[in-house]
Amino acid sequence: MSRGIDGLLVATLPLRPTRVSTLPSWRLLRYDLNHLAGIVFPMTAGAAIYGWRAPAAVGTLCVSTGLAMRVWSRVGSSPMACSPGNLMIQAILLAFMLPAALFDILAPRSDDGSGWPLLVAGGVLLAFFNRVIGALGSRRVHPLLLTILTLWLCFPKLISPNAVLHRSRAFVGDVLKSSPANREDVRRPEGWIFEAPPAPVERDGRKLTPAAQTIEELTRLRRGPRPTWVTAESVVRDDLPPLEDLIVGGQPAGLGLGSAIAVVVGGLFLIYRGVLNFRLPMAAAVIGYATLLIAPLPVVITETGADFRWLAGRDPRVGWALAVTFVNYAFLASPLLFTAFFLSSLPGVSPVAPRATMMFALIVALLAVPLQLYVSMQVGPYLALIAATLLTPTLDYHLCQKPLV
Amino acid sequence: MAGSQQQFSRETLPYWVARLEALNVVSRRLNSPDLVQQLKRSVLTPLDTVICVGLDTDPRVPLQQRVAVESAAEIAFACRALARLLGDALAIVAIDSGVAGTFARLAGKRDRRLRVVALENLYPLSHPTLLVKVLRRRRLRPVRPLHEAGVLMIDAVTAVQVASAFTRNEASHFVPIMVCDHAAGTTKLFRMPTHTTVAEALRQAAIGDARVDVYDGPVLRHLRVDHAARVSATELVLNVVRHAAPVSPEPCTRCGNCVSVCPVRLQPASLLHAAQEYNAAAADHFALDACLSCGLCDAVCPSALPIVSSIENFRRALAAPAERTAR
Repeated sequence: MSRGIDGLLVATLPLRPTRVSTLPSWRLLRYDLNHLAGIVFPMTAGAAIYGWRAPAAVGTLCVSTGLAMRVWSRVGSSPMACSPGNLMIQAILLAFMLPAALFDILAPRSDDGSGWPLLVAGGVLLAFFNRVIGALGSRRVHPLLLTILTLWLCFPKLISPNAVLHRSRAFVGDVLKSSPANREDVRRPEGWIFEAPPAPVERDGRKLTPAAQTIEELTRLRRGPRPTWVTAESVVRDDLPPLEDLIVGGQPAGLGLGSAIAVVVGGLFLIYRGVLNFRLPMAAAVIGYATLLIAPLPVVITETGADFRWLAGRDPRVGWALAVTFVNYAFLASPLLFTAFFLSSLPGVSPVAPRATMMFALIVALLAVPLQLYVSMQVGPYLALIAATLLTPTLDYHLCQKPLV
Repeated sequence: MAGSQQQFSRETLPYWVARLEALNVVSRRLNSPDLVQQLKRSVLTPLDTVICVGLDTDPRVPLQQRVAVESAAEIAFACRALARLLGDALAIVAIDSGVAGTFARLAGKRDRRLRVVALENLYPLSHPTLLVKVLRRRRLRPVRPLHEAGVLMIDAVTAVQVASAFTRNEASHFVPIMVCDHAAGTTKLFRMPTHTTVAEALRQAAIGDARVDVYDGPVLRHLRVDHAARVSATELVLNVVRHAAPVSPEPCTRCGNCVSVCPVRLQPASLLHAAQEYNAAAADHFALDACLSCGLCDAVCPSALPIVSSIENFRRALAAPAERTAR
């Protein structure tokens, strides 16, 4: 208590000030609309980077999820597992993790097989898991995470993105009309100058090796010493795209993950609207970045094997500048930010107690880094989230806050 | 009035209690429990604080605030008198920061034993548990009596009645009743005879429509009252809302909104889960008995879950076997 003006005692409130309306107005629709508004940012970026097939893929998944849920709701007598709005949010987020090229209707037949049935199957699976696992938040694993894990296990090649639009074809281009980027540089008549061949004019985009795949090949030792030794420096210098491609957008990725800046802005919007507690993404991002700096990286791969180093920046062959650059690539190329901002904010994923939330973020970040470096860049953070979600009720129970009275 | 303070002492307590009883100074409101019982209890358990609540449960219905400003001198007198009856206890008037200055000026000369504490009137701060925590830094579970925290608590309306009983030896046969029509957005204050019915109060406020729900006290606590009920001995505020379409609850999504608004830092979602599973151990772990039943969790729940009613039902179910055993 402190002494205020006019000799009055002004009490400082140890309570949480509450300005909630005394009439119930905050309801499910408003909550879902807020969530949807945050999703608009990566959705727009996805449409720009991957063209009209991105919203078409989202629409397909939403429709298939909705129809599948209608069918599933007639099976058995258990109540609705979650609200339609929440189900649509899950469907959109699932679409964000898949490449836009999966919507290959109205496209020339490819040898890899059709992708659009996978979108439909994804929707059916999502509805199925929502129905089977039970009411949202009542079980330990989130249906959305189970769905993406199933798709990754069954169709790893199909859900790997490999194309991106040219800047001049943003929004309107067809990501399936992409030509493979020719790695063979063209020698100029001068003899010692090389340049990349221009992309074919009739093509809308380019097929590229995603930065995530390049990093994964290095850390999982899939890059042999052919023809020379492979060093972390050579990978960063020669094989990875400009960092701007990951920040703004210009790399193959899931249709909602292509632009890191859009993911962050969408996440900040969720925080601003009160859908998401800022502690969770902040802690996950900071701890994830720090863990990436510390995690053992192959400094050099020779014929005899790889030389892994903890805290690679301390190694004179790498140096801090290169280590930080590599970590920036690993941080932005993986879906860690998307996981921290969008998936961890999903109802039923993170704990409700503040202390438990911080512990949850710590677990997610600590697990995500090794999983993405040494298992899969594409789904490592999702696997970490699944593992952490298993602990959510336990964390809520043991780290519940002490009541005020 | 100030001169008559000399006759109030711990020795004269039985005399003044008898007078209050004779004049039927009755108040059985949440933040003003039965005064006579509180004073009688003080003989067994010494109380060191008198708290007069000039705050309103719903800031939009400022009944206590208006009474406090209109009768500041009487309230100050009653608080000082009660403090002396308890043996030189500390008297605190908790009042909204917007009118605290006015109250302090009207209350008369400064007194070391009378404090005016300005608070921001946020729901549910007027709850006794929170006031005891804020004003005296003491813990008092909502289900426990106030004397366990060494506090005697009255509200502004009761303080005016006490002042009238002590100085003029008169009972007040009229009580202020405030009717808040949430649909029309109007608030009306009346002085009506004690034991008036809700229907009469509604007629006085020109609310003739029978298709309204009336809440006795804060809307969020869902304390619906019948139109034939009498309001004089309970709450003085009637909240009138139109019949709302029933909202079908969705499953709990563990969004955490209820945790972030809970004024006593509980986990209502976990309490609801414990109630659904009839798990007394889990309910105890999550401090079921610390719940104020303020209803804020209900208000913010995006799934429209009936959290408070579930917790209340579970609390009653847990208490029932204990009561049977006691009998």
